[in-house]
Amino acid sequence: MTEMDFTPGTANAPRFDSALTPRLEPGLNLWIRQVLAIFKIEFGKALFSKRALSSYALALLPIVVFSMAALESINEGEPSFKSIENAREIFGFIFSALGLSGVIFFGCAAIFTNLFRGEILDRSIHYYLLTPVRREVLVIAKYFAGLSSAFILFSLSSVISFLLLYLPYGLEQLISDLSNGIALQQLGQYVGITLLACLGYGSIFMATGILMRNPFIPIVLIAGWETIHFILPPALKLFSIMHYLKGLLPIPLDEGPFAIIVSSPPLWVSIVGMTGLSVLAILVSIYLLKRLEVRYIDE
Amino acid sequence: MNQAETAKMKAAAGIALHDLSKFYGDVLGVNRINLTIEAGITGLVGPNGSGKSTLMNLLAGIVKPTRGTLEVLGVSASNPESFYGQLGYCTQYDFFPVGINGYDFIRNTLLIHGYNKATAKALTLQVLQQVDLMEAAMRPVEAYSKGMRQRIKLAQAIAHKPDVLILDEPLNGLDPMARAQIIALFQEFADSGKIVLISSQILHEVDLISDRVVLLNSGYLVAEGDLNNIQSETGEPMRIFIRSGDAKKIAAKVFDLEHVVEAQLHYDGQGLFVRSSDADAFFLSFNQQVINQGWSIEAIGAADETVEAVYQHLIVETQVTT
Repeated sequence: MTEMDFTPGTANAPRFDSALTPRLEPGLNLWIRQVLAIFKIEFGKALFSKRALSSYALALLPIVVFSMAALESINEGEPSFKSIENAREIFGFIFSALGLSGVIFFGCAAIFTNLFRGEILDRSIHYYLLTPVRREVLVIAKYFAGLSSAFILFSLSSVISFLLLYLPYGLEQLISDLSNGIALQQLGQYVGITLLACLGYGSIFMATGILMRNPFIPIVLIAGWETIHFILPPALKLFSIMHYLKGLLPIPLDEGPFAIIVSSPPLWVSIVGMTGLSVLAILVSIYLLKRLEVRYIDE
Repeated sequence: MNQAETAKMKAAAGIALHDLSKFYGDVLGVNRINLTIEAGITGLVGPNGSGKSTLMNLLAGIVKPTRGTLEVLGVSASNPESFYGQLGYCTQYDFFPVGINGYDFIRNTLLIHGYNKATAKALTLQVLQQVDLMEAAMRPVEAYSKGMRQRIKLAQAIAHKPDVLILDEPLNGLDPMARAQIIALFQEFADSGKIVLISSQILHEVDLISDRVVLLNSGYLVAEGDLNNIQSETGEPMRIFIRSGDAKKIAAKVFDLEHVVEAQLHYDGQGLFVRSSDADAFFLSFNQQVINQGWSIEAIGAADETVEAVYQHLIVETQVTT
């Protein structure tokens, strides 16, 4: 009988005559296999468990907003916005105000904070800590699982919202904008900003999820800091993720009369900055996780 | 060299604790534990707050010692691939990843261990069969009974065929049949030259299973070794039971023997309890008397060579005194 003959969920007692392959010896191959195994488990948790409901709800928000605008235009027989240029400008504003500051920020908070804090709270983190996996490997695998799920969810949300923008203007307008490159370029910029936002916010929320017993405190503090970033003096703006992302928007935004205007960082600074921040936050997470102790019983 | 011989060689290194202490701030977990645990079944016994779980968690590497060192088969927890590859830990914590079923619970662990998918599946099914959970494998663990949850935790601890098995209250919630099955599994493990460390509050079970015991009290190691040695090292007079039709005659003469401090007739008149401060000397002189007097003896042996008796003397009586 081979291992393929066994079916869990039946009372049939299997016999194991086939030779079993031993586990990999410590080294790069083992670490890669462990990263892939943990990635798969965590990716599933982030996208296909009850825990994912809040992320889906957030990702749906911009889609709902643009669907309603499109339906209204169709009902009224004419587009809600003056022109497609005007519509793209409004999309930029909504992406910044609702997408970046709301959906992506809080979505990343939900996904990345739960990577470790969720398991610490439901008291199942010890199962990972009792496997032969280095804590460095665990942090990296979980981070990439969180990053992938957040990026897929929120970039899809941005792309669908952007396409819904064209619904009142017809397929011809969309094909024209795609072929002349303007739509593809803007879509690429929004998707790129989404990726950088997930990199930056995600890594910070993963670290605070390990560090803080109450994950809401850092979420509220960071949300406050990011909300007031436009009135911060130039030296402090450097410590705001939003500062690095807003400059990449395809349409410049008016931040109001109280905003302290500074020149936006170039693209490479934003990319290096977010990547550097995530590397730093991952290192901090590894340090924190290495110090983490599990106490099963208060003696 | 076959698998059992390899396991025996590795187990020779045992679990070695050297001057191991753990403090939670000012609160003592365990203090200055020096201990070597070898192949076979060792029972860890102590009252609540004695430091049993702290010691278990230290052994499993999920709590770090404040002072001292710990090695399992010559490897420390700072080398997790080797350390956890040879160690299985069944906690008494009754929590599981949310929404997971029994099959995935085991299989995911094996994949993280570094097995390929086919082997992980085969080992998962093998261990599910061992703990009699094949039928419930695809049901969420949250829907399991207490006994089933205990068995799935145990399955996860042994799925990768570790050389060292640490079990924190492993028999909790199991019905008598499941207990017998699981105890047989532990004995099978120990017989193949592996190390099994069991913490339990149920003393007669520890007594039944263990080759050796480790007694903890208030974070300190009180005694360790096989029960015979502990008993004689305590200095407490040993209680001996003699079954004989001549019990009354023996009772009349027994105080002539050296080291006898107490004698008590059994209620049926066919036996006698004797307390001796030197059991070896007593047996020697008693044998001589049996020959001289022509007494018929049906059986003779230690009456209190149990974990419970040792526990009673070393822990309960000490606590009452203090």
